[in-house]
Amino acid sequence: MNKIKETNDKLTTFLNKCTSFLTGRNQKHARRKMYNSLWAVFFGLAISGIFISFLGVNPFSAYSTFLTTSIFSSFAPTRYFFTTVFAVLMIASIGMAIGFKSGIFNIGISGQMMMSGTVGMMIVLGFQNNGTEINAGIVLLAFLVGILSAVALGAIVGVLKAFLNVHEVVSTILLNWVVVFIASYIFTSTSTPFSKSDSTGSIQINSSDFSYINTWWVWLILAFFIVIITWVIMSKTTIGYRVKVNGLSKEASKYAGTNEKLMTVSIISISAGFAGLAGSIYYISFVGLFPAPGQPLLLGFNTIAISLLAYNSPIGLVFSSLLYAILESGNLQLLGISNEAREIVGGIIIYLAALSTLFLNFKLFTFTKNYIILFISKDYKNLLKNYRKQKKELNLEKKRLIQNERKMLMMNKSQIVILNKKMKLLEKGISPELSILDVKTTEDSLNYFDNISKNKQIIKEQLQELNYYEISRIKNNFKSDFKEIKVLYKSQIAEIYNEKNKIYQAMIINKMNSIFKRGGK
Amino acid sequence: MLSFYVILTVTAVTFFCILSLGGLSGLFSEKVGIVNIGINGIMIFGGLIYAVLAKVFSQDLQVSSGWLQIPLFIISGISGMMFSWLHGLATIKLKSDHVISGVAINALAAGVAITVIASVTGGISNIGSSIDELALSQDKISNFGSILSLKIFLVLAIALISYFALQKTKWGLRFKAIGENPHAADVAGVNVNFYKWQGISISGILAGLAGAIFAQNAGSIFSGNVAGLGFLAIAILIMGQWNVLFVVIAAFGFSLIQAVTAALNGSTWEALAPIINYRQLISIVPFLATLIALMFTSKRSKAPKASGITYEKSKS
Repeated sequence: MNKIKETNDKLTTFLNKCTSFLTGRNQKHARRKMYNSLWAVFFGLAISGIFISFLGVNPFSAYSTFLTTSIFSSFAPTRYFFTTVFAVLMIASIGMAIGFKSGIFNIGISGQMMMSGTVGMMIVLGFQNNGTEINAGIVLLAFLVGILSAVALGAIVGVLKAFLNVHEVVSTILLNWVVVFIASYIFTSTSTPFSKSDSTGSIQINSSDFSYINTWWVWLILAFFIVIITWVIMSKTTIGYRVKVNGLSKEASKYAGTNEKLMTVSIISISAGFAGLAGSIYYISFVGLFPAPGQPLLLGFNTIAISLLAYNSPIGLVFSSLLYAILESGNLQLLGISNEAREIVGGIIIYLAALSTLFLNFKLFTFTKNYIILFISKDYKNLLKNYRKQKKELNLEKKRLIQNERKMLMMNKSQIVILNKKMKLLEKGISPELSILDVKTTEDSLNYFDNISKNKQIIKEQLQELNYYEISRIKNNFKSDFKEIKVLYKSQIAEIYNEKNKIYQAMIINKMNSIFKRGGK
Repeated sequence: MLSFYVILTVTAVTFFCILSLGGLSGLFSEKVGIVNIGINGIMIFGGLIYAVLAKVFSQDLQVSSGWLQIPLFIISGISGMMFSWLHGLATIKLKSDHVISGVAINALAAGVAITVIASVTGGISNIGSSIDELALSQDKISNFGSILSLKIFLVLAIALISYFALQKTKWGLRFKAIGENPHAADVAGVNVNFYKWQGISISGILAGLAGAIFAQNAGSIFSGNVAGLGFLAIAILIMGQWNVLFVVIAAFGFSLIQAVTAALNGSTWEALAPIINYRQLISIVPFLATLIALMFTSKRSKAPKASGITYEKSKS
């Protein structure tokens, strides 16, 4: 009997969990975040549409070209191109998001991608220069060593942060450029065996077995696999929770017994490891050579926007990566403008994503619904009329009172001017009776300031007698009056809205009932 | 051999101007508590405006006199300021994360610059033409006269003015107080957000000027990036420990190392031939030097205490 009850309890809790998941009662916060991101993307596309139209191209045709030249292309290799970019972005962004979750901002993603690309490329090209046929073993070795080198680079940043308090943003920015110059030396200098003679980059990998045309599906499956694994670890395990708490409050996590320094180092290393994997795929499989670098890989910086838009959720990353993959691989040259226009779209979207608090209270649908309901009702029109009338009357009265007061003040104008002049001198700290040169001791200075404040008090009283402060008092009074009217008006509007809402809901329920009854007959 | 020394000094002076302006730009925003990673982006924007206007004047209007530099510097300073207001909007008004907003500014500026240059030149990535420099000599390879130019006087004046403004005036004291403790400044009757807007505007003007100097130096090969000098400027700011004097000294040190690379690249001095191949590795030196310097100074850094923290006036 007891056992049955136990299982019954278990079943109910499980069912409750299911329903709350499906109805999204706990997901409200997450849904709000999603709306924020969607608004950021929407406004980003709208604003960049204005830019694109400055270039003499219809923005809608530009956006449709983005789609037809990447994900919906009829030409298979273009689709593979898109898929590989998609996979690379997903993997690199997972690295970024893990860092963000734990409160670490790893701007070095692009440097770490280049690091693993450089090392991997050197291994592959080294074998190629020796005349060895490139096989899966060599590529695997290149990937592993490349990822390890990226992890090492990340570990340096982590150690610097954990033990020497060097901020990771600064150290990763510096290391990005170090990597750029190392790669530039290795792949453009004539003294290394990897560079082309015209120093435009490295020599090409001569085997196309591992090019993205043949291996795109491997990278896509790998990327989705990593996304799912990360999601499970981050949301279902203790490790993931520790990582999150580390980001929410360093003190709390320390108190709970997490080794904070080890945590920091390992998170940056893991983040760099994902970046390394993405970099290896990008250079060895996707580009097939290492072009002469002038600056850190721009693709790597997109990961910041991607994980911001996804609020660092691994599932959300899939969608924001999809957006950025479309932007990155779309080809606008068909429309006669250069492909750099997409950099603008990406830049504006990331800026708006950074401003996401702006969209936190942006509830377009509720807002329009409220207003439509209000505009239909007659009471609202009357209310508005009434409110405006009251405001006008108050304004008139205020004007009249103030004018009267001014007339009164004009009679004593000369006196007020003199008093004001004295007040100004006092406010500067000059006393009419004592001289500052006589102040020698602390007592003197106390006396001096005492004298000033006494004089101020006297002048204030005199001004008050002349009704000098009356105008500001009237203004303040009316300010509170206006506020009162406004609050009343707002509450009346809310009442109307609630009432109408109830009526409409009742109407809908009635209609439904009548339909069901008819069906019953 | 002469050309080596000329190129060395001329490049050192140019980089000194760009880097110290960049560093001061960061200093002015951090002193009011705003972390400005977007200096690189603002520099790009200022440089872009300068380069585009210079192209318009030299190519379409056939004027390339050096005196044009004065109005163009002013315009690019103002445009840098306006661009930095985007960062101000994000950090002061909307209270979003400073670093993320700065990164966004960088991305935005890079995108805008590449697109504008491509559309101005009709698809070519270099701007293509430029105006003369307001200097004693235009010859940057064999004449020391090109050191005496508008930019060096401008930069020295700006450094002096900012030193005195920050150290010796009431305004400077209030300015610095906001980076250290905005709430205390607020209680003392200082309009915190107004000072923050001033700080970000000055930061934008200086970064825009730095970009303009970069664009003038790059001349016709300006391609919408400033070679990461904005990031280097942040490193210089940290090495200079948020102090005008030290920032200028650090900028000078960096510019010397940068100049050595440039001189190795540009001169045809035979004694240098064996190390020309390693010039990229020499470029690493300033970055690594900063990193090593940071290792030893970060524990007792003199950064403004409230820098990077959004200021929220407590609601009564």
